[in-house]
This record gives sequence, C-alpha cells and structure tokens, in this order.
Amino acid sequence: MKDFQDYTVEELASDQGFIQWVVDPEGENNAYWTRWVNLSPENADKATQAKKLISDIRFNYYAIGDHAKQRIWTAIQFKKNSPNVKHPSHTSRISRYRYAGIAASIAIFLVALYVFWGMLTPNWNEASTAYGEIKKVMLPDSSVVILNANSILRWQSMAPTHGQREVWLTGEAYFDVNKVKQTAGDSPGFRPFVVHLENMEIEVLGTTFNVVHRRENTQVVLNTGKVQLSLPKTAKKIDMLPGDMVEVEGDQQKVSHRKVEPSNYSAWKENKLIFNHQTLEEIATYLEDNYDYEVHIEPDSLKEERFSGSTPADQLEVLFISLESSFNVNVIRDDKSIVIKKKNLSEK
Amino acid sequence: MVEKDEVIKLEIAHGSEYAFSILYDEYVNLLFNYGRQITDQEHLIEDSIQEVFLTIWNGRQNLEYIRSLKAYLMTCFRRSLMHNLKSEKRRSLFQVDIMTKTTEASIEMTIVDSEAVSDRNLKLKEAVSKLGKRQQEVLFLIYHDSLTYEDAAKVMNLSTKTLYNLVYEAMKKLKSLLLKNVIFISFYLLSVIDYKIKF
Repeated sequence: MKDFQDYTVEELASDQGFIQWVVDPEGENNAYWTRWVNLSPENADKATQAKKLISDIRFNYYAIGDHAKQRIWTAIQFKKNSPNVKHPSHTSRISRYRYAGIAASIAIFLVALYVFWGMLTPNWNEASTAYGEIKKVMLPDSSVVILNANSILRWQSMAPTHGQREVWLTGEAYFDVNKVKQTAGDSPGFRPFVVHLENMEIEVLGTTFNVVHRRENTQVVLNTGKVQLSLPKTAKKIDMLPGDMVEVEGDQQKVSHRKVEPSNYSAWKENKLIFNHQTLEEIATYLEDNYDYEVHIEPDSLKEERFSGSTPADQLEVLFISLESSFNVNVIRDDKSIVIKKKNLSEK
Repeated sequence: MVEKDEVIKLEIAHGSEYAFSILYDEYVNLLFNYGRQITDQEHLIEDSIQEVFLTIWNGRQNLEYIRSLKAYLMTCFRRSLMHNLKSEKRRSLFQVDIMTKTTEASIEMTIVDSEAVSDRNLKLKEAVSKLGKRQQEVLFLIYHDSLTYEDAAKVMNLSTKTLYNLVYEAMKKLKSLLLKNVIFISFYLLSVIDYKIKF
C-alpha cells in the first residue's frame, strides 16, 4: 500500500482500506493499519479523528413491514412464471387520486389473476394413489370415490352449492354418487355429477359405477342407476343401464357397448382381482398399470390365451401360481418385472 | 456472505425456487432501506423491489456472469426506482434530520445543556445540508451498506474517480465539525432529474 504519512484526516476517512478496517478491525487490513497508527503520535491522532468521522455518520434505518414484504413476494410469485404480465408501470403526470385508481385496478387485476390462477392450480383438491395402493376419498357433497392404484382424482375445493358437481380423473375409480337436490339456481331437481376424462364426460345424478381411464382408453361399468356419456369429438351421447359396459378408444371412433357382470369390474375395491375370460395380454396390461411391473410374455401366441379366476389384490403370488398351473408356464418375478414364459417340453 | 451469494447465484441459475426465496429474504430489507433513503414513496419502492427480483428470476440463466449479487441488485433497484420516480414526477422534499444519539447519556446532556446541544445540532445540520444529495447517497453506500468504491460507482452510474471525489469532499466538510453527536442523515432526492440519468 501507499505511504499514508502525509495524508489528511479526510483522505484517511475516504480510503477504502481504512474504512474497511474501521468496519472490521480484525479483518485482513488490521496488521497494516495497526503498524501505521503506531508509527507516530500524529498518525494515531489522525486515525482517531478519521475513525470518529466514519462512525459518526449514521443513517436512519427503515425496516420493511412484514405485510409489505409478503405482499411483494406474492406479487413476484404471481408474475415470475407468466412473462406476459406487465409490471405495474406508472404513466407520467398522475395525481394521487389517479394513482389510487391505477392501484385499485392493479389490485383488481391481481385479484382476478389470483382467482384465475387459483382455479388452475392451488385451489384444487387432489387425491392420488401410488402403484399397488387403494384410497377412499369423500367429496364435499359426501359422495364416495374409491381410487385404484396409480390414479389421480381432482376437484375444486370451493364447490358451488348449485349447478353441477365436477371431478377430473385419470386412472381407475369406483364412484358412489349421492343424489343431491338443487339448493339454489333456476333449474329444480337434482344436481348433476360430472366426471371429466381425457376423452369423454360422464354425467350422473346418483349412481354407482366404475371408471377406468388408462392408455387413452376409457372403460365405464355401471352398477346401479343411470349415467350418460358424452364424447366431445363425435358429439355422441350414450345412455347406460345397470350391467352395461362401454369401452371407448382414445380417438373416440371405436366404441363397444355390452352387458357384463359389474361386480367383477369393481372387485378391486374389496381387494380382489377378478378376471373373467380375459386374455393374458389384458392381465399383463392391468399389472403394468396398477403395480408398475414390466410384463413380458413369451411366446407371443401365449398372449391370446384367456384366463378366469380371482385373486387377492395384494397377493399376486396366488394369481401367478394359478397361471403357472393353467398354462404350463413359469412366472419369474423381481422388483421391476414379471416374465411369463412357456415351459420347455423337457420340463413337462 | 460473499460465498453464500455464490451458492445462491448458482442455485438460482439452475432454477431453484428455494434459493430465490433465500435471496429475497436476504436482500429485501437492504433494498427497502436504500429506497427509503431516496424517497418516502413506499409504493414506488415496492414496485421496484418487485421488478428487480423478477429481473433476477427471468434472467437467471445469465446470473453466473454477475460478479457481485449485492451490487447487481442495488444497481437494478436504483435504476428502476429512479425510473419510477421520474415517471411519477413527484418531487419529494429534501430533508435532513440531525438527531442526538438516543442513549440515556445524550438525553441527559440534552436536558442539562440543551442550548449547547441545539447549537451544535444546528451546525451539523448546516454542514450536512451543504452536502449534495449525491454525496449523501455515496456516503450511504460506502459507509452504511459497505459497498466497495467500484460497486458503489456502478450502482450510481458514476466513475470510480468521481465517486471518490464525492466522498472526499463530503469528508472534508464534515471534518470541520468535532462530532460528539451522531449525525443521522436521511437524504431525499430533490428531483431525480438532477441526476441526469438516462434510461
């Protein structure tokens, strides 16, 4: 460093190194300045004055209020993921009243944004299940939904008291929907309950039914009551009666409608898997969707074999043992995968 | 602090919302206090704080090229606040407050020797009011927020040399007073146009 021997008090007080030493006396400049101060009584005197000068400069400290701090943070969160939202900007020449008006409209805009944003994300309730998990969900209208493995059900937390009740589903669920009377609004009667799926809507009043939406395809099985399916792409409406099963492929072009034993399709909620004349390929798909296994069947011809039987949903071994004995196959299972393979003739 | 800032910078650059919230907690007070020295219009300060953090987040990919987060935040903040003040065209009053240290001793001294104290206060007030607004702001950045000359120059959009001269002149003026009291300075900008800042 330079020789500060001839420096004045104000030069010292303006020196970056000296300021740092005053702020942090134990810092890296300590040795240098201590030596300098000890060189002469004049130096010591100058240093004392300069220190005093520096430490006498005080500024009022204004702390931000907790509310303001939170308010700004919330605004940042709103805007940070939506680049199209303009920051509040102020036009020139605005009076306080004008500003208040602008502030009010910004506030209204933010509230609107909040409500809109709220509808899209945070005010949603969501229930979801992991692979191999089953969960019972009670909706605000006290309808009950049983969610099968690997499924998500969403609904709005602030459901209105009239009009339709709505839920959104991916995966598989069994619905037990209450009949609820309209308590307000123009139309008397019951409030419809609507299940939104990727490729259709199911409208009911009060019924029990099972819905599966996997791999773009949807299957609805009606146990009791009456439901109406709407396919938006083809504007087709299908009325279902108890015991009906409707299967719709993703593109909504292929629709099958037939009678089945409905309890077989919702047996999973009693922790049972019931297969009724289903192909091994269909069973493999079911295991993949609900248990996260990768299932291999060899050879391909085996995939078309059909199987009937029931098994506890949490004890797949039972299923595998009966598969092994019915089709003369080996079922090899590890954490991730299941291989169903025809036994060699020699093993017979 | 500096090392922490390095980590925060990298985390934010990689999109960490958590790091972003830490940055906010870390610096919102500093920015607010700085803004409050410049103006009492808190709504403008709040707008600018918002803008600064949105700028940081939206430009997070380039954050790692920034040397000092603190200096960067203060530079963006000042620019935004000046812009907001300018558009508001609201002239705030220059105001200087000199207060005695609020310890019991000084209060006692005020009572015993109120005439002498007020006399000294008057002198201080006079001296400080002779400091330019820029000088006061520089003192704030250097002595209160402990910025380096280099960083403070960037924040105020001045050369380091000019900045040093401002500090030196201020110190020369203040030295003439033997200060037993603490000087509280709150500098309000008379008019932002005086700053001749171009946007």
